[in-house]
Amino acid sequence: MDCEPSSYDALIRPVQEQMLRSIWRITRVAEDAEDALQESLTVIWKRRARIGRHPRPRALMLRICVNCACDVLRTRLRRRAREKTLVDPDALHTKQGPVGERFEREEVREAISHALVRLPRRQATAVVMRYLLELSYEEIGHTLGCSETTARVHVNRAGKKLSRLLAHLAPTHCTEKKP
Amino acid sequence: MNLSDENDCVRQMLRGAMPDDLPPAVAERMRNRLAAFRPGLDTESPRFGFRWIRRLRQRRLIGWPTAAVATAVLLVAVLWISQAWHSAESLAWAEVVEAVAKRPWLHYVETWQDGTRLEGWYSVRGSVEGRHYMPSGTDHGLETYTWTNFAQQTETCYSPQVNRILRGNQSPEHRQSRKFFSAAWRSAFLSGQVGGPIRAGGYEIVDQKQRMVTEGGKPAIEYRFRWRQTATDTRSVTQFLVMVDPETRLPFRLDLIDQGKEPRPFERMDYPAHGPADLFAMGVPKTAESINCALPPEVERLAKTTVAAACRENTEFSALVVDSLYGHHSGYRVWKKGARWRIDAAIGPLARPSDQVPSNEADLAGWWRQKAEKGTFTPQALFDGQWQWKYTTKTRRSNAAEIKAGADKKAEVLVSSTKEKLLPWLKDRYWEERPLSWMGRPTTLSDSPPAGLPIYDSDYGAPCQAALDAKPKEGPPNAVMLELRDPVWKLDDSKHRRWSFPQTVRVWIDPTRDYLLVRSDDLISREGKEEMIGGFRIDGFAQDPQKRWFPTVVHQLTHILPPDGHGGLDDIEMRFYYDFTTPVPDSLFKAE
Repeated sequence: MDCEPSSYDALIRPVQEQMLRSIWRITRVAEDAEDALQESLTVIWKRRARIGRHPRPRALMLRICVNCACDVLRTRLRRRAREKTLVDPDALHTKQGPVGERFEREEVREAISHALVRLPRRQATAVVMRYLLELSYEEIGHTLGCSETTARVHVNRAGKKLSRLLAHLAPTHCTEKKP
Repeated sequence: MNLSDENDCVRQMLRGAMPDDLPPAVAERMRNRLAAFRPGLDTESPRFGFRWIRRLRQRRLIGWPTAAVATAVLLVAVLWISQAWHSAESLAWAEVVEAVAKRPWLHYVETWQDGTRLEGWYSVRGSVEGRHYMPSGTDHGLETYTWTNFAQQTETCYSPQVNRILRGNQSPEHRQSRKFFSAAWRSAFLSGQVGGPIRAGGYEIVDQKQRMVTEGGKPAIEYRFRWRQTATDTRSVTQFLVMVDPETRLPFRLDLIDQGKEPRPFERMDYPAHGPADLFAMGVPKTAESINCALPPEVERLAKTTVAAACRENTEFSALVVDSLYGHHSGYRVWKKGARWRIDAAIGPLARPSDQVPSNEADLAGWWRQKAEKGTFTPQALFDGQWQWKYTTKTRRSNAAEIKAGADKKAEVLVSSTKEKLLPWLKDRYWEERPLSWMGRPTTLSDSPPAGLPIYDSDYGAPCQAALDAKPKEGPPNAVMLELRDPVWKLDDSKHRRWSFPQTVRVWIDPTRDYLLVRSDDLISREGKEEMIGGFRIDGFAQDPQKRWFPTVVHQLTHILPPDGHGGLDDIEMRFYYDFTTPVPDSLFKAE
């Protein structure tokens, strides 16, 4: 079993930036992002041979990142729920922009995070890969080990559940950006 | 919420809340972490090359042990089957089938690439099978012992980790493979009836070849089979080799052929005179806790009746449906004719919180119909009798020019609509197999049901104990109550399941109203008390001219926000305004 830095780099380097961004988009907290990255790298390393054989290695690595990031997010939300704090007001004041807007944005983000982790794992992974990472259904199917149609079903169901869970946000946050 | 672009809406919300804006400082920290990561020499845990099993497992249709078993039974079945009906080779294979059938037991040992082992005993005469699944590592599941009685359609599973035996009905997957086996077996002996590929249980053998080879200095017949699943859209073909002793006509080894690779030994077979009598004879301790999850016959009957009633393939109607939550009202139109249906969703809300919705029930239908007349609807989903189509719409708010021309600044405008073929008709595949899970599903997999029936989610993998109460103390009049309970559910164990799957689901079914599910309570236990985490109530009914019942007012109770730190359940009200008299034109059901 080879473990030379070159093979490792060859595996990681082409998707490195995408991995970092995928993890960040979900976790949104530097420490959590680092944790998720560490976990992702460990998993990728352990499964490197399988990834090498996979028809869509890039997508599979991104799936691992998404899963790890969701796990970290879930842990954080549980911890936060126990601490009964939805948003840290101090953190809001230190950032730029009107506090009200930031609060609303953070609140939306929290609600979306909560909704995301309430989804079944495969649905959450599928919807993130489709909506955030913009992977094709074929790639999602390959990484989830299912058909393209099933990947569509996962995304569709996740979308519906999310829209139900986030119905209260829809009127203000569901506007199409102008082309 | 606007149903026409809800996925688009979710996409926007996700992107808006989780933008691609990795700050340089965080990026640097992560890159440092990345650069510092230098793994040790631990070996990877490989997986099997048998992709279709993984797919089944990942679709939660099948667990590893069951998958392994299904493979074993299937492959053995395929062995016995035979396919080449017209050629001289088919005679040879028929002899193999016959030789195997004459043996009291078939004993097989599978060794997978990662070292996982599956040992099984199959008795054709006794119609039973015992299996011992021994995973190589925690990555692939837990050790299990399973005993299946095909004649009685029961399955018993022992998990050494928790020292627990679950007794239940034979899993649908196993029944499926048995169906295949039965059909193939029958076919094998009724060669006059057969021509073309064998089709049974969602599988078909594509072709088969044979040749004489030498194995360890001895002659052997090598059968090469190619087969594929027909039940899904997956058309990938799997190949395997069966090595048969020409003297005894008994198969002794099965090799799998991964795509583009050499065959690798997968299963070895022998034919002992004796096999285990039951699960305990396989080494399961008699002191193990035993939980009975077998469905009582009356529950099974009720479930099947409810599913059959929900199909409603001979109805014809149109309806306007209004969803209301905290003053936000969205709507969609439904048309149904026979098995075909179509849903068009309104672009933008039907009414805003500022609109004065009539309080008088009698005025509501007319008021909403007027609102709908003014609204713009676009196709959302359609079933044309053969295929289900899903439409993706994009909308935007009015632009400056349109507002200047008099348009409402909050109005939404349709930008584009694209359609895609979503799913083949899955009724046969799911409904008959899992009546409990799918009970209450309407004739579509859509969550915007033409029949107006809400659904409930259950964890397909969890054990389920069902009990029927014909005269429940609470609930709607005339309804019977079905309680579905996960006997091993634990709050601490729930983690992300906590929100998705209840510990107990109570469903009230009204036989006097065409077996409609009129109420559902989804419950969990917290500190010894039952806590409701979701459910629905049907509070209004209507009948079509054929006296079939339809819901008119449904309250869906759910947590929009996480339960922690949040008040009660949120109530989404759905109102259905039907038209049973105006004929529905066929042209509506063409995907355009």
